Amino acid sequence: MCMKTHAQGGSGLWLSELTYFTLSVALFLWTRVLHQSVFYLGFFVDLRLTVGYSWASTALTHMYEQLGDCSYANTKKLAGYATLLQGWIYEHFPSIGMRRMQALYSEDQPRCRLYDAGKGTSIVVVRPQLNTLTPTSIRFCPYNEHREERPFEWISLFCGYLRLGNWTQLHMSERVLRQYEYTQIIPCNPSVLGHGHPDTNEMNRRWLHFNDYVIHDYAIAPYPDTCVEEYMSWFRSVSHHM
Amino acid sequence: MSGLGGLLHTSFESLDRGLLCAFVERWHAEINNFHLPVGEMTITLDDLSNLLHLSIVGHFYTQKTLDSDLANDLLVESLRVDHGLASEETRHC
Repeated sequence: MCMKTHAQGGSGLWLSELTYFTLSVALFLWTRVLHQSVFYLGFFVDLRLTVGYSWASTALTHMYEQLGDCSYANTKKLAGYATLLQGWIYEHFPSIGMRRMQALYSEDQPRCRLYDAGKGTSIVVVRPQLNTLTPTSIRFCPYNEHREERPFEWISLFCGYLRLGNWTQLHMSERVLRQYEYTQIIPCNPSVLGHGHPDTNEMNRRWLHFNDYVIHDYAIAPYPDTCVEEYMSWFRSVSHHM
Repeated sequence: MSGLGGLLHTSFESLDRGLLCAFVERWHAEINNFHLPVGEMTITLDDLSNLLHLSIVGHFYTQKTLDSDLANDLLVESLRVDHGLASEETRHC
């Protein structure tokens, strides 16, 4: 059953808010909504709280969760809001994939609206393009012209657990420092970054006191792709793909 | 009012399956990033703020516990789902 098709008719503030909210959230919960709609109703019970949520961490936890599920050998489908992943690829990898640029885009709109999907690309074409990526073909930090609209926030450097209901996922900004215009260092082990596996209250507390979980003394990168000398040899030693 | 209004206009008309799958193959779930020849990259909170205009600051979303009675009421009263269909749907809640 699909909630979207039933969210019509009726009157009153409650229903109109619920309908609007359902349509919005269903976009990034979409595939699961189709199959587990009743489960997701729990997210819509008290709409007065919605304005105070960190929707970025909600959406990111969901995306990480779905990408993780895809890592299993027998998984055939990616659930979740694929526009996010596709938009992310368009922003950071201008040489990969076909996209159309929207002529009428202005910076007060979300950056995803700058693009629309072009002709599909075959995976056998993309794989070698990924294998031969060079640092200069990547836009590590593509949002400079968008900062007036979305100023940089220190909390985006948070290292630790994000949470969506009972799902928890590690946000490890330290591993992708070039995306923050810092020099990439050899990162800590994930178990150190997560500081063990805290309970829900402790996760909430760390998030609200994010300043204690953001490292402030990284070195500004002189070039977008700068990393410490040992980084690439470390990376090749730990990566399964290299 | 929810802070999600921008999402109504961001979805691409079509998804590039080959492009998405090629990146998904590079995903490492234990560290939540893509392994590429240049090192690690991932989708960050800052990406969410810029790509979708979602707020980073705020509380983590906490799901209300949903029993079958409440689920049934929500389906029937708020979403105008037929009573019989709703009961069938919430039977396993």
